[in-house]
Amino acid sequence: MSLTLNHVSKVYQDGKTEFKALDDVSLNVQKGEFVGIIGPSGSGKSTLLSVAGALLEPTTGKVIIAGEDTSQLTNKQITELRLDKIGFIFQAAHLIPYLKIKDQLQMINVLAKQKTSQQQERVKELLEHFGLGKTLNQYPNELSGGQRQRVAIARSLMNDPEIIFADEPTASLDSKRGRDVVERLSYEVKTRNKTGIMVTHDERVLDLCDRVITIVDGQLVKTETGTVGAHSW
Amino acid sequence: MFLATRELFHAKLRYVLIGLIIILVASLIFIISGLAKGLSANNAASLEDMNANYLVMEKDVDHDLGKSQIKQDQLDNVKDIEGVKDVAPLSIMMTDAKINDAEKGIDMAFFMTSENSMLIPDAVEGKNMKSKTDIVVDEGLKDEGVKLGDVVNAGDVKLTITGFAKNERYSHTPVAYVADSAFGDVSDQKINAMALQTNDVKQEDLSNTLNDFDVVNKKEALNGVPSYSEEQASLNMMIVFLLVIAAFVLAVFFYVMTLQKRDQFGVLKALGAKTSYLIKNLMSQVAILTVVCIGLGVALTYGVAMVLPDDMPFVIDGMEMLQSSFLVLVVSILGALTSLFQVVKVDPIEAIEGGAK
Repeated sequence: MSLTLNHVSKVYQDGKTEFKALDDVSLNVQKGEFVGIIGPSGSGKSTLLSVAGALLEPTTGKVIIAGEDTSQLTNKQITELRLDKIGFIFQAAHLIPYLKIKDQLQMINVLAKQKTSQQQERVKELLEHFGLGKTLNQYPNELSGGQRQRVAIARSLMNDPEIIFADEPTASLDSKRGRDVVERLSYEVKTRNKTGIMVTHDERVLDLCDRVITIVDGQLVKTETGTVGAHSW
Repeated sequence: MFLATRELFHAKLRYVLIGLIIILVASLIFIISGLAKGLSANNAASLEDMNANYLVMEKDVDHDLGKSQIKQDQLDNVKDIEGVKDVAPLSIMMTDAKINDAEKGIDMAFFMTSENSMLIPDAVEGKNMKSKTDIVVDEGLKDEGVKLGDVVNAGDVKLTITGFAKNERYSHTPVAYVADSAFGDVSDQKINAMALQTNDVKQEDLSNTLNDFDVVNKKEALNGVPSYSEEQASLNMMIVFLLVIAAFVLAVFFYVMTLQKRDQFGVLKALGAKTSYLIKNLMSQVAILTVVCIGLGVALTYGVAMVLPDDMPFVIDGMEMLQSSFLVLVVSILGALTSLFQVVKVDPIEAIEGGAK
């Protein structure tokens, strides 16, 4: 199992009242599986993503990422876990404005203390693979929203992670471009045998997921298998 | 450094603005220091560069040479103290010297000492003193039309200028070195101070031996010159204020810039950047920026020095410039340190929209 959430709850204290953002959530995701998480705003989907992505510590329960029980790790180890095993794709791509596109990917190597010179080919290959070969020396503000989101996908693959988390990757795109991006993401998850978790409110792309989980008031209420990857469930 | 240098080059305008502040502050500090140094030389170069380690003065005159009175015969006692290589009498007389019977006099400070005293500087132009009525004067007097061979009337005694020496000033007045014997037998007259040239001997030990007197080092003697310490203090105060202002301005600048970059820090942390890595980047950015700007400030200062009029008291001292540079660097880094808290505080979860409740 690539990602396991075991009876995970996240409780926020708001004055005297408690707010349960996640309420006893259990979830297993396998390698090669692309899971969509939907739910109304405030339902806890971002919290679920943050907890599963080791950005947020659960109040109770266990999160096991690539075989590592995060409750047993120090903050430093969790940072390293994110660096080695997890790829993130954020809502607005969140590229670093002052880095050229090639350096957006190279940065991951710098953070992982790998020799950037040895990775130049890989950076080029990845970007060419995403049809971004011509943007190597451009800055994010020179790219379109779809291109930026593709850079973000390429960046999330740079460290060859086990799990890729995507936080509303289509939010800033029109429906066609949004669909392109999710298709791309789904394709990469399949072909590279990664685990993909995507939070979205865009129901038009759900058919690209192997499994769709609906979350309401912090509880997983419904699991549907999608049309593409019905075989894996 | 990966992030630091790339950001510096990308956000040029922003860093050029901060850079300008650093350049201007650094230059202003260098220039004021140069002015302080220049004024100090203009005021009392003859004491600063005196060929002696200590001056022995009368007690309780606040190290003011002009007020100190010592009996001439004390010189013999001092001569034999262990560690004392050489000793010479020194008396200072401010005078309105009439040159070649001119009607209008020129202000001069007569440094009167023994005929073969170590205090008498070598002439850079003309000749050293040969007879007891020869005098060597500050070359700045040339600007007043004084020439070699001119005769200075000091009461009944006629003194001949035989040489010009470099940077000889006391109390903002050109100095003339005069042999005390020019005025006849002086053995029963009082002198202002005894100048000592010593081997390795502590000021403290000398003070203990000469406990009837004040043993004063050069720095103390300088501060004893009327107006000297006030002059220097006001300029030094400006420098201190500049440094404090720079610290605050830079701190605010760096703080706002870091605040603007919160989102980026969140993303970088989510992607696996350690806080220490981000701090290292921020600090190296500030260090690179400051060092480059100090360099430009040094260049600017030399440029300003070149266009300053010659008679402006301005002296650039390499060592002092290095010290000031170091202070500016420290101030800049201190300013940046106040932003570090921001970097530490950012939670990687801020990268996830709505993730942080």
